[in-house]
Amino acid sequence: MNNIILTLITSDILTTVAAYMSVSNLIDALLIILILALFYVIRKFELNRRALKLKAERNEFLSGVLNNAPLAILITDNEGKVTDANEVFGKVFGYTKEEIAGQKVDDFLRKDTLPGESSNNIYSENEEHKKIYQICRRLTKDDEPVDVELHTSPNYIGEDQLGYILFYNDISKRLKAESALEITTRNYHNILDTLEDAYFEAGSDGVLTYVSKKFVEATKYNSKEELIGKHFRHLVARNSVAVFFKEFKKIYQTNKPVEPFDLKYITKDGQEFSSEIVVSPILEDGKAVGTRGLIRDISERVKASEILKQAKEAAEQHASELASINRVAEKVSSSLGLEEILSSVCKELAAIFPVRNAGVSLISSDRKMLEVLAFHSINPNDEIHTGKYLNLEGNVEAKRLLESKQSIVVRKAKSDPRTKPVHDLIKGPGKSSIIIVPLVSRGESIGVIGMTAKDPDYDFKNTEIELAETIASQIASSVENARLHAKTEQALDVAERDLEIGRQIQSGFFPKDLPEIPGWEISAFFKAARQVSGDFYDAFEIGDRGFYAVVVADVCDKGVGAALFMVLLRSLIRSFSEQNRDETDVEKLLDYIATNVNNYICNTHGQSNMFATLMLGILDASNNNLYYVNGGHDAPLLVDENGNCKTNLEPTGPAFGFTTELTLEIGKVEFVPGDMLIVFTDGLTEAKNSSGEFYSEERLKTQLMKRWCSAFSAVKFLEIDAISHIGNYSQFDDITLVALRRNSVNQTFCHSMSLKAEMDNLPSFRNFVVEACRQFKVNEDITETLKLAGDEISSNIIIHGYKGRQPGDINIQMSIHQNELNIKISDTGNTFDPETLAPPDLEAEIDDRQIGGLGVFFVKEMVDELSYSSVNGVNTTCLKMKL
Amino acid sequence: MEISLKQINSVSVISIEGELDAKSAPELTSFFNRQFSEGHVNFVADLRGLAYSSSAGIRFFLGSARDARQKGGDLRIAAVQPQVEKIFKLSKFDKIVQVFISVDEAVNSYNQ
Repeated sequence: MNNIILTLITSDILTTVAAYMSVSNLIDALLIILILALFYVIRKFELNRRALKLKAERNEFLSGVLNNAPLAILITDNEGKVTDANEVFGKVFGYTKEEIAGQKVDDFLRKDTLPGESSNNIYSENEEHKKIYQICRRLTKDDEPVDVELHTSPNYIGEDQLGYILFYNDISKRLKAESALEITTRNYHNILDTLEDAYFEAGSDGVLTYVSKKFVEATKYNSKEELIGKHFRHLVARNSVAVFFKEFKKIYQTNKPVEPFDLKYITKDGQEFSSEIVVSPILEDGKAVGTRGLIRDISERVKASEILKQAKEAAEQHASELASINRVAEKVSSSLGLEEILSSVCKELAAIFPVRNAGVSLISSDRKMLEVLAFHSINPNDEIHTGKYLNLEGNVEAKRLLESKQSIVVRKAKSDPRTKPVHDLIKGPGKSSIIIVPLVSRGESIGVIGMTAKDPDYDFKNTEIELAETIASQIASSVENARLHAKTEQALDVAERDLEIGRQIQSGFFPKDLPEIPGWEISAFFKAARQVSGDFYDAFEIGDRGFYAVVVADVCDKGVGAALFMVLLRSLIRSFSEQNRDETDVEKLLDYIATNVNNYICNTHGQSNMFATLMLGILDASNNNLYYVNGGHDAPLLVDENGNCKTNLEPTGPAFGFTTELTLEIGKVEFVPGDMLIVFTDGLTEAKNSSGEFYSEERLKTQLMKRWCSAFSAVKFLEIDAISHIGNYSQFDDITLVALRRNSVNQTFCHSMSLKAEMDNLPSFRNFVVEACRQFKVNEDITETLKLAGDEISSNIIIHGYKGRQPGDINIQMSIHQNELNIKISDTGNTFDPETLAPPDLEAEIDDRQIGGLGVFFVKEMVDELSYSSVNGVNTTCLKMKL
Repeated sequence: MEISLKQINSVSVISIEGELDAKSAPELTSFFNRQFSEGHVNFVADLRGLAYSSSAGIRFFLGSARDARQKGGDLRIAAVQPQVEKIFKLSKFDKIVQVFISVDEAVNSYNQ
């Protein structure tokens, strides 16, 4: 209370003094000094009194801490000599308080002989009086090592330092437990490495946290490290992504494993393979916090092909049989007309085996019938059973036989219950010996091969059974292919119509104008794939506080559905942004939009299993920070002024539409001048060339390593680079690229592009000039003029400038300066001053007209200013247009 | 640029679509030369779909009109679009070739 009054008085006096200072009266001034001196003495006295009181309070507090804390505590003076220690200290280190009182801590509490560890307990160099924290090992009185967390804190009262307080937290046990856990984990992972199956673990965001050796081998990556940190989705082939998301969503919804399902994967080199995957949740308190699973089929496939190989080896002993297999194989793979294939296969079977007839039957979709699809008998007088249906209903034995997926030989087929469905077909007197080989596709019986032996008493040999099984596996796969093919054909018409509708929907929803942000630039590129696949980008201002949304999304599906979902997503983002446009806290705004969009999709469209990876950023132009949520989207790259990657904006949550359960975290990144964010969809990095090579994130990063002068320049360059990578190969997926750049302070803002001086690049040069003009918002007349001018000058450089030499680059740079649009076109070829060229005679008759000089004439006629210079081998043509 | 050919009686109508520049003009020249060497001399250049041409296009029209006239034929221009019209005027090319509003008129002009 005293203190407060004193402070009030002091501040009052000071105000008074300040008022008096303006009075130039000496006596008044002296009086003021006297009063001040008096107050100083009173204040000093008061402070001392306070200090003593505080010290007493402090000591009381400290002794309370000392006796009750579970930590070992030492109190020292400023020289590090112990003034107090608690009981716990005695227990941990074995010293009594009396033994160490007055001793320097560093003298008795020594470090263990661990390299690189400080033996100081007190940091005298701790100038800034910050608390010091370290994990170290100290020796007890009996030289036993103890691992401790050591906090050193200077002990202050007011401004006076009394010494130090040292807290020692014994963590030996914890460390032991941790290292045991680490060893267990390592052992566990070692065991996983010995598995034949590919094993993985992934976090709730779908990013791989662990993969086994087999997983690395199967996906053809170089190392575990290369895969860990990657999103699982990148290993899933495009057309399996929807299934992948659906199944993983189920896991998070139910916290239970899902039924094994088939998935198509894509290896690092772009090959696809399919196999079965088993996934179960990693549970924490009963809730899924991640997933682990096995890609099972790899080993089984290896086994299957091993068996096939063995069977083939066995068959090689019979050269004629091998030839038969080849014939069957050829037939099977030659065309896709299923019945045609099967009937010729039956002929082959009847020729290879000592049989009277051979038939292939398939199980109907309701699994109640067997339909005889092909049948061949060596006796032309025999009845042909093709097209007949064999009833399975009620034939338990026959059904069991089918489900067993085992080949059998039935010696008395006419009376055996297992062959009841064909009893009617087996004519003639006496016994009948039948071999039945199941057709197994994707783990399920889809039909059988049946053959009746010529000799009723014949017992099929094991080698013959194996051979029949080998052929059966080929037939099964051809049946599968044919069925798939039929489905595809049917779907194709529908898909084609889908495609057109989807494309129309998609194209109408890109922003016509990107927002103009003072000191910033946004540029975007989108190239649709032949198929509609639901990429989209958007950028718009929210409210009037300088918040700008930047959105890039990739809907994990194709066709009309994807396009509609894309439109929904875009509208949701726009409307939730608008709804909350007055929000002043950008993080709250972002959270509001992201949460509502995600919840809406999950709650309203949860059943449709639509997902989208989404990068949603809001730029706060007032502090140059971008706040973002990244829902499972490829991590955007932030590059500096020189194009070097500073950071990746990794996913902060799972894809949108996945679950409402998971919180979407907000990331933040600050832009310094010249920084540029590149947001892209996997259509870019996974764009393939004709050799099947991906464009890849590595290439993207390498190509970005340039000193950019605008976002548009970078986007344009990457566009040309990606398209040239794809070449004639058909583009499979949409490509979307958005760049957000804070203008540099070191460089003049301009749009620039360099390309090789080759005829093939002429359209790109023109296109660049036109688009750069649009960026600068100049009118169509000027745009058209500059398009022609740029084309004429570039053509001359290509034809004349690099005549007889290796073509170098042509650089086109465009900027606006004082209401003038400047274009600089530079090259390193032969000098060619357009000024020196004589103008063509436009009055001459057709036969006398000169062929050359027309291009330069156009340029001179149409632009406001043309100049040319050649310095140190660099030729520059400058064109100016008044705006 | 895309080129297509239609024969109307003795007249070869060459439709040129897209953009005509120093890269595509030589393709057009060799296309024209093939027709020319087969004995065709009466040409109409249908420019409905030609949105852009550089001076290389003018050189092509100039050269092929000259070749055709030397064999008693001609190259006549039809349906010129604004940008192309602009450079035709600038180079006074429209003074030395016949330009028609439509392909029909250009084709019919050979019958008169």
